Amino acid sequence: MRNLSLAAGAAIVSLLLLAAAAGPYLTAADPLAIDLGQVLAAPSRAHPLGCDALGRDLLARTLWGARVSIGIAAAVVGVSLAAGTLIGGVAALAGGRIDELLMRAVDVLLAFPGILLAIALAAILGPGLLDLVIALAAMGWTGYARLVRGEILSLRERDYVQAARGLGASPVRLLLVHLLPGVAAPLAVQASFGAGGIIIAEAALSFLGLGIPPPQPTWGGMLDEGRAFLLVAPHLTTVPGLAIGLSVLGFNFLGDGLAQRFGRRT
Amino acid sequence: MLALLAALTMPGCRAVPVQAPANYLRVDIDTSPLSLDPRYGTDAVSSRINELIFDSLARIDARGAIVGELAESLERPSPTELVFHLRRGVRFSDGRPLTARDVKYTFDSMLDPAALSPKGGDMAALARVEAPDDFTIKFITTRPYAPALQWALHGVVPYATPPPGRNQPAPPGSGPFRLRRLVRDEWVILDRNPYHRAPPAAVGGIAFKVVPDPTVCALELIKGAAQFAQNNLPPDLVAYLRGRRGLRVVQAAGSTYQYMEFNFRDPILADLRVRQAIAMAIDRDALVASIMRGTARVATGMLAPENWAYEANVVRYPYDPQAARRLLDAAGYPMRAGGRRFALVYTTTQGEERRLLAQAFAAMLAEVGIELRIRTYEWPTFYSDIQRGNFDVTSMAWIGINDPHHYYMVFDSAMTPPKGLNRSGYSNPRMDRLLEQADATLDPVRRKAIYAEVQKLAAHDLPYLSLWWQDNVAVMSREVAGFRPFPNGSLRSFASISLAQGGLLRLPPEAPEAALR
Repeated sequence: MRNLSLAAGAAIVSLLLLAAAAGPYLTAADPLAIDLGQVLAAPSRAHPLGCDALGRDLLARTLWGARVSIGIAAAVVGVSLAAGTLIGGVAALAGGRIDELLMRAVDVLLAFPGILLAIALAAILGPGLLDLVIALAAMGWTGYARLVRGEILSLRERDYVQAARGLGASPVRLLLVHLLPGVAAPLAVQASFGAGGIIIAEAALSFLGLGIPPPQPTWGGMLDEGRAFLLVAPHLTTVPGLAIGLSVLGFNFLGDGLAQRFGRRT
Repeated sequence: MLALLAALTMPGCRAVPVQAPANYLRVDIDTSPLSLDPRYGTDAVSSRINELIFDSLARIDARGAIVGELAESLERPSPTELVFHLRRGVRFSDGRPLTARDVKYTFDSMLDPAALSPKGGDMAALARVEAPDDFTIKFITTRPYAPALQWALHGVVPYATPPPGRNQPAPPGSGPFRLRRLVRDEWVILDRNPYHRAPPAAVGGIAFKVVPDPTVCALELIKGAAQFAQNNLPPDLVAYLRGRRGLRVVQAAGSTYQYMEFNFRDPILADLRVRQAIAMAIDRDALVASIMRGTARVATGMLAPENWAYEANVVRYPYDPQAARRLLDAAGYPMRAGGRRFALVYTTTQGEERRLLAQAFAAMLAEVGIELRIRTYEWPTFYSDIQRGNFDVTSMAWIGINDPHHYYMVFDSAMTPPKGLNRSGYSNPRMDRLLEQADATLDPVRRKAIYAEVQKLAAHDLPYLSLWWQDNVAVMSREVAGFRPFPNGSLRSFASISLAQGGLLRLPPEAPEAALR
């Protein structure tokens, strides 16, 4: 059976990566240059998506915003994945009290609504790229830790793992060579969905003014800035809104497709 | 996708059981008033509503002059005495007659340190208030004090009104309206004060609805759900509403003063040449024309031209980035690699308009090599940082400046927070001397001459860079008749406002827009 989700997801995500990587080469406009003669200008030849409330080129800002969104999503997923895998792996292999302790810690963090925790952290840490990554990773890693622990607990009982252990493999070798490859597929699925979630969370924080400080363009920030002009210049909110929607859709398709591919239900 | 957008942009819809009665003017406001006790409410919305409910000894009229309200005449028997003679027959909305005892009580309760009235602060020179008989009030000042007449602008509450507390009704006033219902963050509904004579055909009351989102406010005006909104719509939305049938825009010169403030504790900003360079790097004309859509006038100082003490002949800083670069070179901040000389932190609040403005400043200063790092905080954090002098550059507005004594509060070196409002740490002995001398000068002609010097000095020293005076912009249904704008944004003309009969709109044939500049 053809895997439509995977194809669509891969296509959208590739497009997004391309936009993020090649953004500056796709338009000559400077995303920070204001032009008070072009305030709220409608799309034109010089500005294909129009201009915002300070006359800045919306296409350039959207493309630069893609860098921020993708960059943050990658960093947050990377940090969460590493932390979650480490903690989940340790919990599963060590078992007993350490397992209890770590999993209760995860439960405590999961008890907070994720975005609320991120808002609180972002407010404490202040605005900035690194602070934003920390705030979002703090709520992101728990899912991975649970997933890795659960998968390892079930994989550990498989014959090939038992055999390796019987042959005297060390716990580290057991984890790296035999267990983690088995966890990779569900992790990839989780990471793909996670990236979509992070893009939304980042947009939400920027929308609330807790993200990267202006004038750096971010999709959430653009949405917020465009809000006052909803009646006058709807393209100010439509463009970043569509960008957020499309990229989340892309990552969700990708996650779905990967899950199908690995024969798992999500 | 659309649902997501809607969820991100619309405030939650709540079922509101309150309905505005017919023949009430429906007005949108952006926040709930903080206190409907005139001794405590200092925010703009509270001030606007309180002056509809409460009378004061005197009031500022539509031309910006102080005229008697409860007082029908004023004498100055000695340099430290002001005597007001009260009108007779004035009653609070609960029927009690208003006498000098109520006025004395109002001032005594503001002066009482235990009452913590935010308005007691600038009354240090008021020694005591006396009520020799029922219709005479006497202010006795500690020294000859020119700004004393400003105290007469405070709203009067009935004798023995306790400070506001939980579950305690707002006090009645003697103004044209009385409070009928207050639902915090939703409605403030005012009725007519039955003891205050209303002109025939005037509205039966005012229903203020709290609508924080400007887009929703604009839609309500278009639909007719709201009939009036003043100063809570961004300039672009006003431009959009101007063309609408059934709506009318009244734009009038205002006294709200927008400024950029520099922190003198920062060694870079302490250099006058740097402040001058910043002044010349910011194209205020272009900002007024674009972001403000012409709803402001480029300012030369804190006092607007309508003010009696306004001085036009001050140093101005026309947009000149070349000159700004030369000044920065001369100040010892040469352009370095990457096209920048130094970085400053610009602190502001999170409102969209504030952030837009910050970015416009940053882009303009980048042109001359100054990097402006924008930090946005929610209001309480922002305000406490500013009060503690924890900022480089910021921008705020003064609303309702009337007496030039305000210069003392913000520029005298003794007035650093928490005592006063000199947050920048600006200190110039000549300025201090002028300001103290002005307060002691009762003759308005001589006082005006001193303030002319003050305004020249402030424009030279640049503790503030004057940005603009914002116009008062009211958008209203064409049903509304009799609205008069005030420079300070007062809505006092609601007392005699009326609505077209019958609910059906009868549009006048292409009435020209009111331009009151």
